[in-house]
Amino acid sequence: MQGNGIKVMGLELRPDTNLTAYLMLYHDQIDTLYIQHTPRQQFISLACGCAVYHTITAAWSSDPRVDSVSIINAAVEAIVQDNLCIHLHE
Amino acid sequence: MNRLLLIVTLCCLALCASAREYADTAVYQGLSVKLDIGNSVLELARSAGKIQSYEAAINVRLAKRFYPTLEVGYAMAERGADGGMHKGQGGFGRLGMDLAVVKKGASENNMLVGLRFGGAYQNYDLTDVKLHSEYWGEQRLNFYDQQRFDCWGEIVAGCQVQVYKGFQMGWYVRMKLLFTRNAKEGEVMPYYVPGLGFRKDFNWGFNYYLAYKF
Repeated sequence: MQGNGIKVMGLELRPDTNLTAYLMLYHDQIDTLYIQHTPRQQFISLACGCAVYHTITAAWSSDPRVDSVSIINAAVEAIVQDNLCIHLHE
Repeated sequence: MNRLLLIVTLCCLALCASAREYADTAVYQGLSVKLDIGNSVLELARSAGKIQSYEAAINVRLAKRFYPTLEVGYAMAERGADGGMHKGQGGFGRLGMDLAVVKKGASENNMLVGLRFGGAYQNYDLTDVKLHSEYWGEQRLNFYDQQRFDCWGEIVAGCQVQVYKGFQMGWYVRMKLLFTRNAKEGEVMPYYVPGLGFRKDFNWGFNYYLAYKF
């Protein structure tokens, strides 16, 4: 995130649908961040189950204070990875 | 029962009578039909009857030293782990060539080394597969009616010995290297591959054959 004290936040995408929405409480106002993505299940083994990778296709916010949400890396293939950049109005 | 015994005896006698001797100078030195017992029993024993694999092979002896080989088989597997279940069945084939290590004139007894290219096509279901997410919790997924073709290469070593007239037996140890390691978009790879075994990049196999040479 830019234009705020928070620099980085970790959000996990839903493995079973192609739209994940997070409600964010910000100065007593609830804002919604939408991330549209394509989940891809990778079978590892019967004991370990499936790992899920995603391809982010779009991201936007309902909050007018958010200037833009840009995708910096569409492929979600690791737990710690920079994928989105949220620009806030000053 | 006696009639069955008589038929089997007559068949054996007919086979013995048809075993042929080939001239030393002939390129074609006969054809062997092999039935695997070792891998079938091993798979059944290791999996407590949940995996069945049957295979047969044909090889031709050329110039006393070269053995072009075709192997075909069928396997069924039903295997569970941590709630997940693989249930599949399919056919497989291997094509390759063996080379007699020691050139011993007209002897039918040989140590063999060779290469195989194998392929398997199977239908399978993967059910109750775990999908764990730290935030969203654990879910169970089902993948029904999946189809997949896998192929692999093998280095084999073994022997083939003459037991009585045309009857032969032999064994092979196989080192298998899986070529098809990646899944297509949305595809879930099987846990077991007929002819290869459990899906690993490297795998081992063993066959013990009973054979008859025509």
